[in-house]
Amino acid sequence: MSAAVPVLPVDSPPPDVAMAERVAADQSTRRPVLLFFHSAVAWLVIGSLFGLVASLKFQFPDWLTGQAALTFGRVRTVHLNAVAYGWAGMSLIGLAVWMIPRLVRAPLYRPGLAVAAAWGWNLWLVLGLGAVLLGYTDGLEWLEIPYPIDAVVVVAGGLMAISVLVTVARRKTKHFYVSVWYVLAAMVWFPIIFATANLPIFGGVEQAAVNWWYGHNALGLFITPLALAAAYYFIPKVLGRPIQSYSLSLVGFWALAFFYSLNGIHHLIGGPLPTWLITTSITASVMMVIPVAATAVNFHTTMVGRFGALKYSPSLRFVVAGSMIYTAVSLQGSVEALRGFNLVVHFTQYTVGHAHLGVYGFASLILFGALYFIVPRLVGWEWPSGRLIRWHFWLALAGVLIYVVSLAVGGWLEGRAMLDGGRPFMDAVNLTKPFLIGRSVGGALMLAANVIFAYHYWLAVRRRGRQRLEPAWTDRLSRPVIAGVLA
Amino acid sequence: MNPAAIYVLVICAGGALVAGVAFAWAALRGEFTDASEAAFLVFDEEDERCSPEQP
Repeated sequence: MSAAVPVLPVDSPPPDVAMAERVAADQSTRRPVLLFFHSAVAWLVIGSLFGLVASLKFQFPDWLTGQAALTFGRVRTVHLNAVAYGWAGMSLIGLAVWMIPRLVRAPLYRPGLAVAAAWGWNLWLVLGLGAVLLGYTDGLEWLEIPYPIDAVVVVAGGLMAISVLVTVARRKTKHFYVSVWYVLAAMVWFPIIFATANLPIFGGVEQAAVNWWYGHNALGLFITPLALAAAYYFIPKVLGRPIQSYSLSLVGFWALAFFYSLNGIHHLIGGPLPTWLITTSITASVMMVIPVAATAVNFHTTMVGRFGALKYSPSLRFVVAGSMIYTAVSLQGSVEALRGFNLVVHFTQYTVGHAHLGVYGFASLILFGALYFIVPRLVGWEWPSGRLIRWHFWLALAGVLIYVVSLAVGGWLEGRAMLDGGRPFMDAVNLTKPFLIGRSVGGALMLAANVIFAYHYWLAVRRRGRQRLEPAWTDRLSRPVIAGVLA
Repeated sequence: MNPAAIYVLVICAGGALVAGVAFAWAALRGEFTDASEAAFLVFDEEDERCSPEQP
């Protein structure tokens, strides 16, 4: 590989000024970002533990049935909310808070607002999940937390949005980097969809439509843009090479903005809604191929010739794996929305596998990569163990793949059996049993990966282990020869 | 027409309007004119970097 050649934007400030801006930006975000990350890691362990308990109940249906709080409906709900809003939500917001000041060359506006937002978000989850365990729920997928408690997160989210949006308004850059577009959009979209879906004015089939409009958009207009913002930041950053086609990255962003919001209604194919509404949603789901292809082609062409760097950077390895899975899960989603395919997999375990491929395989892997990059810079301490990072990566990847493949195959067979009028319903239930064991095995591996990560995270923030001058990951490797910043 | 369809249609139309205004604003302020410059905003001063064309 040839030596790196600095290429600066024409309006770059002098080097010492630029360095001072970056240092000021990092100092302004340290406290809120660490609070978001500490909370997110705790929710990750709690949420995935509840997930494994829920999965094991398929093998041991009489286990933990003595207490209403530990029955499947409540345990599974706590799992979903803890990982989606606690782990993914809080870590993605922390990541956005860390990235934005760096990208707009301005310190975070009133970091105290972001700190208050983190505490508020935690309070919302503690109250909300406590209510769910006690049996109080709105009874809507992704919206189970009772809506009066949701007022807490509306305030917290508002504080967060003020801090980030004013920071962007005070930017010193002429342009928005593409990650800024994604973060800004998520900060605008999420409050709109969350507030709308929680309005207590919908009932019956209307409520179902709004529910799935929200549920799918929570993934596509909140988790997805923030995770893509991270991928667009870390892939070029670690490689020391800008994204191959910046224009194409903007095409991807705007195509997602225009096509995503109608996707959710495809969850109601076959339901009592107007056919045109369902068809519109299917069309929008298929149109998602455009932003997904734009993103995939861009990431791939940026990586071409540099895949060897995956050996040296855990951040890059996690982020690239997550980005590849983004392509896979998005195309899987487009196919899943087609009427013929949906006819088979609707109401089966297939959909559960798809959701986990999205939130864990795509978003969480990117998040892990981001945290491997950011945390040493926040705490001034390298990750203590390269071995733990390697275990984390392979357990997480193996876990999610075992989980998804088991449920994809099992779900397909389950759907075919349910469509066969000549077979009793219990056939469809019984044939999924071995695949549900695969679900628990995959879930156990993901939990193990998460616990290893949480332990390693605790070591790093407590500055435990021996002090290192270079990343632990490279223990057994020769010095890397890539242009970018290793982590 | 089913009221659910109207709700969703109105909300999505409102969202599309917001996105359209944002897009027009971005285009008018020249956000898409010199994209190659924006691509380098990801780098900080201390980062080494090379151009996209460099092998």
